[in-house]
Amino acid sequence: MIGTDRLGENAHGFCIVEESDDSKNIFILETVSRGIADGHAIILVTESDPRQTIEMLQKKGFDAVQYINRGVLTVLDNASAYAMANTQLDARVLIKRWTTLISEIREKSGCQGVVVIGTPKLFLDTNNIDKLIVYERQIGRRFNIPLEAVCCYDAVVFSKLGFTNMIRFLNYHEYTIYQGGIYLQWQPSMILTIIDRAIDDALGPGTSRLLLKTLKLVYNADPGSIVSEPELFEAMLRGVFGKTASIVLDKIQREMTQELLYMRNARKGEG
Amino acid sequence: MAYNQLLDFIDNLDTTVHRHLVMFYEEPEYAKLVQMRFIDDGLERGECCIYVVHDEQDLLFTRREMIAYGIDVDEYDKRGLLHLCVKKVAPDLESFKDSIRMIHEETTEKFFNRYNDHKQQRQQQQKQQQHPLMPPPIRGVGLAIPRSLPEGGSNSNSGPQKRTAASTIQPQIERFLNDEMVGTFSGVWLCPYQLDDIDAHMDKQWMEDVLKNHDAVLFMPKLSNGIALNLKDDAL
Repeated sequence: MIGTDRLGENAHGFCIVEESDDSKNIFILETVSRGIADGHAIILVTESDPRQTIEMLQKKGFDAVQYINRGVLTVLDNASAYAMANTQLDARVLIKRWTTLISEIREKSGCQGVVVIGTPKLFLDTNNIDKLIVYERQIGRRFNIPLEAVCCYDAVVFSKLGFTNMIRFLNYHEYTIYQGGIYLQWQPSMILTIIDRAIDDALGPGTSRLLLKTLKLVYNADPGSIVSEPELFEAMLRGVFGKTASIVLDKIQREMTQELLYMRNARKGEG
Repeated sequence: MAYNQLLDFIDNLDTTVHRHLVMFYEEPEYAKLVQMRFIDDGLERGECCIYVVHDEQDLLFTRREMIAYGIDVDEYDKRGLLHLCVKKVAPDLESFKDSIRMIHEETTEKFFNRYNDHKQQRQQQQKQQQHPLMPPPIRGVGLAIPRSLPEGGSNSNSGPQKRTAASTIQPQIERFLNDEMVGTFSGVWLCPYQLDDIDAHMDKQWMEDVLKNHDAVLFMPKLSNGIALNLKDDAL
């Protein structure tokens, strides 16, 4: 686990927020104010009308308007950020577009580092998950410019992406971010621990080890390949469990989403 | 009540796909319960069920267990659908094959002789020179090999010589059951193995051999409902 109290580590991160609580607003407020405090310019893409987000920040005591006027904070809605009609959500076109925008913001704000906070909602709303996967992959895990790109996923949407896509998204990001600016770098062993626990929770203690060892004995499947080839593992699970695989996969997806929640620690505290 | 994937698998068993099952268990009581359910499901489907017991004492015990479970042993016996057989340990593979074929012939004969409706149908069809009436599918539970397991399984109450014999004959028997018996006879067979620690045996070669010679495995570790896994090649 990498603990740090500032953004701007030239990396591609993501976070999971819940609509049901205030975690999205808390995430936006914390990330924007931390980034600005660290001397970075911020590009914030919102799912709703940017005015609502600006109002929310103002209400929470953050003078968003002042930073917008100084060119340090830019708030865009989904439509203008991804310009679907022009880009067709093509990864190469989008990345080019972002590169241009980031250069403009750096020049305008005078800041060296930029924090981009994005949302995949437009891809999901328009049923373009395949394009989202390509886009996330092509962004890459690390950058050679002072840029922090943070993708903010809704928990319900994320938990329904399917096992393979969830692991892919984890693989395409360097960090997940938690409340208080805690960064967590995901290791394959951590994913395996969650899968192990989810299977035991769903089917009983000790069953996960038996399952994984059987996959190894019969199909020569190495547990490490769960993370490197999630589609193969999902296919194997569906093969060995048949129709009940969805119960196991669903449990794994829910466990994984819980572990990734931005306010995970606050929730654990409540528990 | 928590979802029990293993019982769900047993209750919805597709015997056209899964015809040779292996069960690894740690607690005999739970194993017996699952075996009773397996047999009961077969009887309800009208299959001819065979339960291989270790000895006369085990036969009485199993019969009592079946009654306690709610199986009408006398009625199914009368109809020729339920057979409790005392295991005869086969000294070699050929003897084992013979004994399995004999069990099948005996149970088929008993079925036709005791189940009057079928007997009459069979006679009628023979008179009309139609194809003879086929016996119902077989559903069996039991091992026809020595109780000791290769590489010193938990039930190894025999000497090293017997263990060696068991480890030699066991993979051959499982292969025979998988390739020939299940291919020839219509039905499903469940091979139960008791282990003190299933997990500890998972790294052993004999386990790989056994798994690769079955269509599905039921793992029943302590403190768990267990899991059933499809092992057919088309799992991938």
